[in-house]
Amino acid sequence: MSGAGKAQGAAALRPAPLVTELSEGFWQGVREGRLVIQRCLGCGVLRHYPQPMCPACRSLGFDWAPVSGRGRIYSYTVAHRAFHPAWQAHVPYAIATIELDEGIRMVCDLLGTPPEAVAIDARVEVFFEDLPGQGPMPRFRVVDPAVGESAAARVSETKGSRGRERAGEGTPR
Amino acid sequence: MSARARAAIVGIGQTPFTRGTPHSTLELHLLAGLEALADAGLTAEDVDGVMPNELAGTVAEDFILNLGVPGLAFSSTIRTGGASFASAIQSAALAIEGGVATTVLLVAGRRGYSSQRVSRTSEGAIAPHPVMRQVDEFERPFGNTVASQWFAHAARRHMHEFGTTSEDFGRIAVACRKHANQNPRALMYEKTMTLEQHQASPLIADPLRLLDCSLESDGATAIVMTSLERARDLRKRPVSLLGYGEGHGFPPTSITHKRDMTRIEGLEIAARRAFGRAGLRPSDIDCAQLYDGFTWVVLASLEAVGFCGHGEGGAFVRDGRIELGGALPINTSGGLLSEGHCSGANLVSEAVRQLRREVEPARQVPDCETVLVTAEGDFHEGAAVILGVER
Repeated sequence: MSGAGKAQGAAALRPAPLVTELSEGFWQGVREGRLVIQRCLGCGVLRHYPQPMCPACRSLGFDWAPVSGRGRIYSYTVAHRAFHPAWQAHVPYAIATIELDEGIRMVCDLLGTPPEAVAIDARVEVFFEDLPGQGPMPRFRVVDPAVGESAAARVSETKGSRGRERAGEGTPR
Repeated sequence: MSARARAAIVGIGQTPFTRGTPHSTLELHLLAGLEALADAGLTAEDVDGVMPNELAGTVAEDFILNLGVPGLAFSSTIRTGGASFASAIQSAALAIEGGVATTVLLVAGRRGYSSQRVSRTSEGAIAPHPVMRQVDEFERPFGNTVASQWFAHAARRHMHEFGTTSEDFGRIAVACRKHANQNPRALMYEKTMTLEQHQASPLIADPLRLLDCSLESDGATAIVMTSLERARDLRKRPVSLLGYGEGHGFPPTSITHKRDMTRIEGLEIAARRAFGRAGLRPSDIDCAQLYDGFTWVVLASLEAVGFCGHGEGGAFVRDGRIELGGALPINTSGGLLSEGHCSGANLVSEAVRQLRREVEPARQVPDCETVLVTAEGDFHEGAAVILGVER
């Protein structure tokens, strides 16, 4: 794990997710090293972020379904300025909107992946990591840069240096 | 003039846009409110409706207490962020048309430089907000902490799908700046901007650069609304509310989860409703004041309203069409990008000034009779109002 957060003291801790009774199942899965997504008991549709009622069939019943943890980058930004001290030492860092193969979207900062390696349609996979201030969190990393994106070409030039330098952050538990 | 118009804007008031102010947010609101009432030839005793603005944190009781409003009959606060002021115009119109209130005061604006400064949230906590609940749990803890980052996802996807470029965003920033350079009220009145300067400005949330972001400014804007019938007896030329609409995309709680984040779905719906109510089309609009929290929002708003097709915004802004003298001048005051960030209310005051012929001659849109004002807030929620004057 990167020491950057700890080095800056308590002020630099990542903000803890505001867990609710509704989302507890998701975070329980994360603590067990599993990515689970809310599934409607009425019609079987997966939904994220957690919410009480299925907007398709209006059922209140749900359970937690394991998903692959694999997907692609739907869109992203590279933050060149941190608006929270926990990310100050990481700029520039990419924040991706990830679309899982199951059609579910999630957001994740890709601190272990150099921004140059991030591109729309790049393949990603989940891993889990204990983070200062947050505890166990689902994380994503690029496993196969997108085909046909210009960024893919840049990856081969930059991945060697920065990718290895930050590789420690990406260690699965 | 549409037969549907039953409410009108009869007064506008505005504090100067500054970086630094001795006044509290509430004081700014009260000063702008008094000016708007004076502009209309009315007093606080005439007010029976108040629409406090969500982003300022003011409440109706503040206005009763300080303005001495004796007979408040109606108050409501819309919670769609930047779209809330334009949506409040719809609510005020309904109260007036329904006979619940006769004179409604709407105020917005904040100490965007002196206290609620986005670029300084590095030192501050993340404020809890009911609409932000999901983002607070599943996006901010993952580094997606502020609006520039949320909108950057949409801008990036738009570039990916349609070939839109950073220069296209820059042309919007430059157009707004050119207009501000002719508006002594604008914070950026004396500061010019070229496309090259836009391109050289630092990246904040790639692809959004510093000059793609709206200003951090202090200031408040107020308007007074009443019935069109009563408006004809008041001090200024009435500005009729020809159409209004609001719209909510799905889901309304996150940009990253939009079915199609390259569209401002809430505004598509809102504009359709506003044009339908007014019996008008986009080609009837003489100038447009488009909510410009970020340049990409303007580009996507041109598409959402129907000035051009989905994905065509980049081409639409390439030939100077959106500048004064062009076919569709936008944000003729400089907008939130270059006049000041007054939660969208200064786009409405500018529309009123254009229709009353109260702007500097260089900024006056010739034969301006019909103006569209749009707003986008939180996560692609939308509102639109169409204003006009009787010939």
